[in-house]
Amino acid sequence: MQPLPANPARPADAAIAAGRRRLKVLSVIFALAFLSIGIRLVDMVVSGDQHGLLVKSRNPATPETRRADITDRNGELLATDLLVPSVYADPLLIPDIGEAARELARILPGVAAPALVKKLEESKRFAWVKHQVTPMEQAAVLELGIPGVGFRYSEQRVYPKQNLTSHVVGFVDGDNHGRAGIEGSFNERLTGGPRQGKDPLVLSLDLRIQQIVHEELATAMRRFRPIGGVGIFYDVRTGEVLSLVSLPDFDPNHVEEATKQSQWNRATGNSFELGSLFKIFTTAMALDTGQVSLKDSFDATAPLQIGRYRIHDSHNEGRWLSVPEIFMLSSNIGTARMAFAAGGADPERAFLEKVHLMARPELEIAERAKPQLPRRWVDITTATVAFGHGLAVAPISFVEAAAGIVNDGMRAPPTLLKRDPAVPIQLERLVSEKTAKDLQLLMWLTVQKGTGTHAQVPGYLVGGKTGTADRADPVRGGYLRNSVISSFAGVFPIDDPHYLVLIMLDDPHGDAAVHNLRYGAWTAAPVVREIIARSGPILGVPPSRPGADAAMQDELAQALGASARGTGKDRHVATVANAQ
Amino acid sequence: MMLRYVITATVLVVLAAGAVFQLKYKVVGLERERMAIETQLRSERWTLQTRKADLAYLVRPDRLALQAAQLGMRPATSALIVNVDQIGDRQQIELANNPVAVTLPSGAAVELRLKPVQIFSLAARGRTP
Repeated sequence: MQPLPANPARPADAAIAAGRRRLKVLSVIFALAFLSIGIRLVDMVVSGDQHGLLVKSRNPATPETRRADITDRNGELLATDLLVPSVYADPLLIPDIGEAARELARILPGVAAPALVKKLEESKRFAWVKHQVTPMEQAAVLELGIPGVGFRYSEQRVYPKQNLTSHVVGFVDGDNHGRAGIEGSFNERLTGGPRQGKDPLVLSLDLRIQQIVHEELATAMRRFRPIGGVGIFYDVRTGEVLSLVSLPDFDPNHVEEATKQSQWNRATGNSFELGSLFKIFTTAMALDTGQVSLKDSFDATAPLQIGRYRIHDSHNEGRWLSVPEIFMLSSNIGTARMAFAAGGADPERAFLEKVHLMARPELEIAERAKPQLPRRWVDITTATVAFGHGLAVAPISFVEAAAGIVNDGMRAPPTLLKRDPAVPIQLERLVSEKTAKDLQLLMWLTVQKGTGTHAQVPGYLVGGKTGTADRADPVRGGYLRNSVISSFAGVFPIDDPHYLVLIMLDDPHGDAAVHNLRYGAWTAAPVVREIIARSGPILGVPPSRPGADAAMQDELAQALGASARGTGKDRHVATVANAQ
Repeated sequence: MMLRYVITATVLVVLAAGAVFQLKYKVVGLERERMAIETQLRSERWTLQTRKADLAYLVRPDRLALQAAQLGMRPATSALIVNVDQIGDRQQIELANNPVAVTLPSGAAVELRLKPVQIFSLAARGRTP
């Protein structure tokens, strides 16, 4: 017989004790769980749901994720996001897929019925029919009333001004990421990255001026048939770009239809040899070094021979020319001799570096061309660079540098964003005030009596410089025959410079009205004239006072007479002889 | 005594539960209302954005230029802007702008305006557009 346990209650007590322990453990676990939920709830209430979990879970449809708008300096909308519907289908709910596909293909351009049937048959519960349809297409789909066909909404970037500002504003890709222009370079700012707001990005562009430059340049493109054109309107005092046009252009709403040619931003992304426009820099350099004065003269009686190269003038005067004559008649020979008189290669290169022409333009977009510099800077290089050949820069680089010279020698950093008038601009001195004034006088003289007379505008004193450069042959090297880059840079009012306008035409063809000439004086200068005449009143530029012409004449006479030098002739004969 | 406390506490608990239920019901209702308003607000913002884009499209400078002739508009020219000090004798013009009350011999009261000797004329300066 088996003995009874000593204490029969013991196993039951142990079971109860174990049960209590388990209950305690379970209670602790539940308490911890409830405590953690409670703490999280209190945290969410106090912290205000920083992670947006509540909103996200309840509002999956249209969160505020749009890109910030882009406007011009006056608040005109240039780029914005819109909520655009896309059509989708649930094949399981469609009674007759073949019929539905035929009907949808009939009203939705770009949708093919057989392809749609295949797509719907292969999908189980979801298939896109067409992305981003127009309101009319949406209405037509609704009219069909096909069960299982619906809409989903997504943001789409829209450019209401179409082509007008395409090269500055740029465009976005299918995922709304900036790919070019301001859209590309300010992507984080526009998408509201860390510490970024959703305020519109305000550009320096003035849409009214942009339209004028675009319209006048397009007219010149139709008339002179160049392969491309550039128009830039620049505030020399603030460095703000009021207008930047590169033609041909494209509609950023339909980038997929744009050709590569039209997507090129010739104003900032391409380098060109700008020809005689460079005489502004050579003359400024020569005057600023103190080696040359307005009263000096240079021998332009015969072509300048440097090694095996001969430098000609397009209109040979066959005589000695004074510095003002060299500038206003755009003498290559005289300008080359002036460069040598100022010291030759070293000062020339140093000056071009000083005016920022040896580096990429400083602008807030990625499309900025590197200048094409000569590999060796020998005598012939010094001579050709002096009149704008052998060194290619982006048109905007030229504008930045020339603006710095005419603005009393002070350069304002260029920008595509509107400046805050309360924030002082960091100006940089490029040339002395005296040199800047001399250049203003020479540019005024060029428009009054020189090659730029077609840029005269009633009511305004305009100064300027013409440019006609041979086009480089990209295939065989050297230069193309009968193919030029024509340009004109105008400054107004030249007695108190405020704005600089550059027009450049790439390979224009003159018509009978301009005697079939392709020179900048005949093709580009009249375009600048029209732009100044139309934009001056809009910008509130007061017309020049009566007698302003006479005052400029007096200043020029004073500058010519004030020089303490002799004729300078003998001194420069030796310099030029060395060059030969 | 104990029973009274228990009944009071039970009633209080039931009342509190009822109040909490009502409060929760109202909170849920308000939450739904808030969500509806937020959705509507978002929708209105997008509508507003669409209208802004529409307006920006319709006031394209090239479109306005095409309609300018119909609206009798002309391009601005520099001839339409003058400096203030170019406008004749401004004192005389200001005088002309201030009528003087005069009593005629007949007893009638009239306003007398002085005619400036010289006034600025765009046409006379050959600057009419």
